[in-house]
This record gives sequence, structure tokens and C-alpha cells, in this order.
Amino acid sequence: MATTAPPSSGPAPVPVPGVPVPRRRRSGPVRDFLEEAGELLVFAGQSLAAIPGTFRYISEALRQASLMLRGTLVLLFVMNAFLGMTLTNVAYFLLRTLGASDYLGVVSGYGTPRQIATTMFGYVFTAKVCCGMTAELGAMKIQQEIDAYESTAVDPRKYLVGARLVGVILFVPVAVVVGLIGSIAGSYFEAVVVIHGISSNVLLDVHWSVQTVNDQLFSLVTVFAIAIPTAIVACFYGLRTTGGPAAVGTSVARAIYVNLVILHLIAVFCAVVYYGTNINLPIGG
Amino acid sequence: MASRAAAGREPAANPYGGGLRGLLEGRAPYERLRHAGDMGRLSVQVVRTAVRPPFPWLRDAIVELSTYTRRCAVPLAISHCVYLIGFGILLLSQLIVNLGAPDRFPGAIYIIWSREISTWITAMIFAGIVGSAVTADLGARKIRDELDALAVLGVESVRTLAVPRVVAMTIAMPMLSVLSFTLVQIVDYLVAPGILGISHGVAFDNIRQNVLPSDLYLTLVLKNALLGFFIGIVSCYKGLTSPGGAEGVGRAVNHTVVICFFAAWLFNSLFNLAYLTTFPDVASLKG
Repeated sequence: MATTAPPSSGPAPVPVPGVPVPRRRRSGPVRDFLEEAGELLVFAGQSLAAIPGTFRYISEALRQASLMLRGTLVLLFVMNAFLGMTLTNVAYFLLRTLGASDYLGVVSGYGTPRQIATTMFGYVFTAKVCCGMTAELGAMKIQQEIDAYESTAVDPRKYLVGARLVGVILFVPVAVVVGLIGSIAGSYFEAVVVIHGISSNVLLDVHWSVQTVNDQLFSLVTVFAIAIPTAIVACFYGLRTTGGPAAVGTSVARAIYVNLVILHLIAVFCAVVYYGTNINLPIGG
Repeated sequence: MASRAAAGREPAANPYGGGLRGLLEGRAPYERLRHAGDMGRLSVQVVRTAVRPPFPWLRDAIVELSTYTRRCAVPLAISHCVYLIGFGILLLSQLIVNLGAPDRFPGAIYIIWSREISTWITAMIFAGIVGSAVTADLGARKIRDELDALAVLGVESVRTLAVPRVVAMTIAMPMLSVLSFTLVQIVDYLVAPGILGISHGVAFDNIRQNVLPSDLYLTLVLKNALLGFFIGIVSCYKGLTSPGGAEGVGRAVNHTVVICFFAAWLFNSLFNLAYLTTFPDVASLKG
């Protein structure tokens, strides 16, 4: 792991016999973790507070949204299709042994908006958009572009972070729709075209009759809840970069480390909050 | 590689020369194919170097293996347990209880986790944490010209840098996958019976009835070993060829993560399709 040397504040003190070495500030893994988490929370609050002030940079926000849309949508569609194929692999063969392979649509209809689309959006967004943000902001930071913005009276928190967050807010609804369509496209491809297991009408009929608008709205809410924190974490580690170009790589690695954990936490937390007491399955008892 | 790229660019300067290669050089699809080919070449080179006798990289491989395991352990445990308790025990169990078969739930978790979810989460976290860290490390060495310094000293960079990392990842990925799978089974055994209203004996019995050796050594070990090898090759390649400049290493890490995520899903879907169509009877939920 390449780490840059910590900035030293002057020459190291020469130990003099008989004089105790001044005690340095205590630091350990727990304390570092807490400090980093605290900085991250402060940064998140400041970034969210900066969103209303980004109206004058709306062109930058639109540019960010268009970059995300053009760069990510195809990948999001294809990855959701892979996840739909995987879901079909499990569910079709599991249901076939019960003699109920016609009910594959139940699994894809329920599973897609509740779990598949949201988790997969998290993966794609973290890998493609958040890493890109960290790399871009980190490169700007080490080239002193952030200081240049400040010296020209442009608030980097509004122009860089706030505009990106607004771009994410514009990007998310389109991404949810594309993700939902991508998953059912993958399920369809796998079940109907590859395995020749069930007919197209049976799959789509059951799929769309179990999937309610509420589920799709829940998917939208969860994806918002994933996208905003991960984007904030990415900007935080990008702006925290110190050192040379090697530090940018380390920042990106660190940002994705944090993002991968919090995206699982948020996806599951939202699903449990939404469906934990009433799973909304109108079968059985 | 630099000399070859220069040699390729020379004929393109002549508008009437260059042939097919001069026409294609620099276009995006050609460059992508060239990167894929270079990765394939690196993988052959790594395998060939790894099996030939002088093994100075063994100690490095063990150190890297322990580093990866320690770095991935906590995120893997958190993500797997959260996924198990949230999606598995709280949501999927209601479906199975509604179908009137709560006693088959631990077996269902066993089957689904050993085939799919163990690979999903482990591959994502492994590629995100280890792959990106290795790319950042090797890319930092590349842009500081340490690789050239090694070459001047007569040290092969593939043998000393790439081989131990690829070997360590090929071993670490199935190992972490099996470990997290075991953790999931333990948590499932402890938590699920209380929520579903079945006894621990029934849960244990149901898990044991669904244990198939092929699930363990094909989908859990072999698939994850191949994925680990792929992630190792991609991250080493992207690190060793990282472009300079302020954004170079960051972009290399970004590309590594995207390629690894995409490849993990593609490979997972196709492998499981092949596995389940070859042995369709393994899918039955016994008990």
C-alpha cells in the first residue's frame, strides 16, 4: 500500500539523555476512525447545506448530470440484466423442481424493485460515478485548483460538491427506470430466449401483475438514499487528498472501501423499514 | 511496449501508408481490444512465471494474502450479515412462511448463498477493496519510475510484483468466500429459528440435507478462484500501465473497479447457467 509520508513540522527532535521526550498526541485505529467519521459527517452536513446555493451553477449541475447519464446508463442496463439473469438462474431451477416454473414472474416481479435494482444501482454508481468523482476532485486538489477557485471567490463546496449532488439528483430517476427495465430484460432473455423455460407472456404477465407502483416508488426512494451519501463520501475523499498523484489512487481506493460497506447497509435498512412488518405478498395466509 | 507503440504510430504519419493497422490505431474499439489482448498476454506470462522454479515471490505472496484477508474481513462480515438478516431472514422468510414451509428456509439460504450471493458480495468487496488498493500501489510505483529502476537493477517486475499479487488473490478470493459463507451459516443457525418459529434441530437438519459437494467445490471454490485470478490480472495490468499525470492513477483505479465488477457479473451469470443446465437436479430444495 503506497502511503505518502506524513507532513513533518520541522526536523525530528534529537533525544537528549535525561530529558523526557515530549509525549505525542495519542492516536490509534479507533481514534482515527472516529475522527474520520466525524469529519465526514461535518462535510456531509455542509455539502447538503450548500445545495440551495448552487442555483447559479445550474449549468454545471446539468453538465454533471449529462456526463453521468451518458457514461453510466448502458453499463447500468447491462449489469442489471446480468443480475436479472442470475436471479432467473436461481429461481427458475428452484421452482422447476417444485413444478412451479410458471411462477418465475413472482420472483422477478417482487425481487427486482425491492433488492436487485437498488443494490445493483449502488454497485454501478459506486464503481463508475463515485470513483470518477474522487479521481477528478483529487486531481484538482493536488494541482491547487481548489485554492484557485477560492481565490476567485467561487465557493468550491457549491461549485464542485453542490453541483455534483444536484447532478446526482437529476440522474437518479432515469437510472431507476433503466435499472428496472434492465433487470426484467435480463430475466426475459435468460428464461425465454436461453433456457426456453417458460413463454414470454407467462413471465411478463405474472411479473407486471405482482409489481406495484409502490414497489417502484420504494426503489426510487432507496436509490436516492444510496446515491446521495455515496456521492458525498466520494467528494469527501477527493477533497481530502494530500500529496502527489499517487495519493489520488489511494483516495479512490479508500472511497470505494467506505462506499461498498455503506451501500449494503443502506439498501438493506431501507428494505427492512419499508417491508419489514408487511411484506405485501398477497398469497397464503 | 513504448517502442512498439512508437513503431505503430510511425506509419500513420504517412497518409498513404500504414495499412490496416495505421487505419485502426488510436480508435476506441481497437484500443480496447489491444488492452484486452495485453491483459491476456500478462496472464499467460504470470502463469508461466509462477510455475517455473525460482520462487522468490513466495514470501511476498503470503504477506499479501494476509494483508488482503485482514483488510477485507470486517467489510465482508458486515455486508454479508446485513444482507442475510435484512433480505434473507426478515424478507425472504416471510415468502417461505407464506408458502407454508418455514422448515426449509435454512436449506434455501444455504443453496442461494453458496451459489450466488456469496460470490456477489465477496467479488464486489474484493474487487473494490483489494483490486483498487493493488492498482493504486502499483500505479504509484509506475509513475514514480520505480519499475524502470527495478528493470535497471535486473529485477523482473512481473516476477516480483505481479506474480505474488495474482497468486495471493487467486487463493484469497475463494478463501474469503468460504469464510463468509461459513459465517452466514452460523448467523443463520443462530438467528433464523427464533424468527421463523422452528427449532434449532430442524434448522441444522435441513442445512445438512441440502449440502452438496458440487455446490462447494464448483460454485464456491472454483468460480471464486477464477474470479480472483481475473481480478488480480486486471488490477496488476492497470497498475503496471497506469498513465502519468495528476489524474492517471485515479483513473486507473476507476477502470479496474468497473472492469472487475462487469466481469464478475458476466462470469457469474454464465458459470451458473452452465452449472445448472449441466446438473439441473442440484436445484431441488430437499428436506
